[in-house]
Amino acid sequence: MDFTQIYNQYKDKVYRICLGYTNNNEEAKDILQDTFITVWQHLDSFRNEANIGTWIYRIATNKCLRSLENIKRRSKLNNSVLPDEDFQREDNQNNKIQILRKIISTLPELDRIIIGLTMEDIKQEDIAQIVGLTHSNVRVKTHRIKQKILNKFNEYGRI
Amino acid sequence: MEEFDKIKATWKNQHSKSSANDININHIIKKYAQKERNRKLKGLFIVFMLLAVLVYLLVFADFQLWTTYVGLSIFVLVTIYLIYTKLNKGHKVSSIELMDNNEFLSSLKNDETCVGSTKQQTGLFIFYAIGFGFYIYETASKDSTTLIIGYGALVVYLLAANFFYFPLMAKRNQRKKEEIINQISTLQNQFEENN
Repeated sequence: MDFTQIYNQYKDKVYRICLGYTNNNEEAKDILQDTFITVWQHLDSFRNEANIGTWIYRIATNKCLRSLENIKRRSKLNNSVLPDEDFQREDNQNNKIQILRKIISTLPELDRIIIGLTMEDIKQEDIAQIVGLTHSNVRVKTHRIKQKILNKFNEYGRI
Repeated sequence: MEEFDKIKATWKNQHSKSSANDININHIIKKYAQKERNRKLKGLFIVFMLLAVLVYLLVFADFQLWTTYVGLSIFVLVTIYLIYTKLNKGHKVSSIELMDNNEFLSSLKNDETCVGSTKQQTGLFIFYAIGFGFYIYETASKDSTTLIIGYGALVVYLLAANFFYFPLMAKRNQRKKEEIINQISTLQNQFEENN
C-alpha cells in the first residue's frame, strides 16, 4: 500500500479522533497533517509491523497529547472545553454533534483518546496497544466513559 | 449499549461537514520535504563554508602563535556542533511519537527533564569565550596595555554573563520547563490511575 492509499483510508478516522480530542476543526486539521507527515517520514521503518492502523493512531494520539501541551503552554488556559466557533447551523443533527463534542471535550485527555478510538470501532486490544494500558484497563475504562457520555447526553434529552 | 451506537453513528456523520477532505496531503508532504531539504542544505552549506574558512586560515594565514589557530578551531567546531544539534532535534522528536501514549509521555517528560537548554547555552558560551581568549592572545600580547584591556574585558564579560545573564536565563527556562513537566505529569497521572 502506498502513502496516498494509506492517507485516503485513514484520514477520516484520524480526523475524527483528533476532533474528539481538540473539539476544534482547525486544530484537528493541523494534527491530521502533522500525523501524516510523521507517517510519511517513518513509513520505511514501519514495514515489518503487523497493523498499520494501530501505528497511525498511535502517532495521531501522541500528536494530540503533544498539541494540548502546546496549547496549554501558549494560552495558559485550561483547555478541557474549547469553543467551536465554526459551528453555526442549528438543525437537530448538528446540535447533537455539537453537544456530543462538548461532552467529549469535558472528559480527561486519556478518556477522550479512548472514546475517540472506540467510536471508530477500533478493537480494545488495539486501543490498549495505542495508549499503553492493559486490555482489562481499557475495557473497564471504555465502559465507564460510555456510561458517562450516555448519562450526559440523556441529561440534555437529545437521544 | 444500543443508545451508544446511535451516538457513534451521530459522531461518524459529522465528517461529511468536516474539513479533512480539503487537505491536499501530497502537496503538504512535498512542501514539507522541500523545507526539510533546504534546512539541511543550509546547515551543510554553513558547515562547509566554516570548514573552508578554517582550512584556508590554517594553510594560508600567517599567524605567529599556535593559540590563534586553536582559538579559530574552537570557534568553528563549536559552531558546527551547534548546527548539528539543531538539525538533529526534529528527528528525535518525531521518533518518540511512534511509541504508545504512555511511553511517549514518559519520554517527553524525560527529555524535558534531562535536556537543559540553559546548560547547553552556558557550555557553548564558555567554549566561545575560551576560543576568543586563545584567538586574541597573539594580538593582545604585543603590549601589556592591550593584553590587560583585552583579557580584562573578557573577564568582565564572563563575570557579567555568569552572575547576571545565565542565572536570569536559567530561572526563566526552569519556570517554563516546570510548567511543561507539570502538564505532562497531569496527563501521566491519568494513565497511572488505571494501572
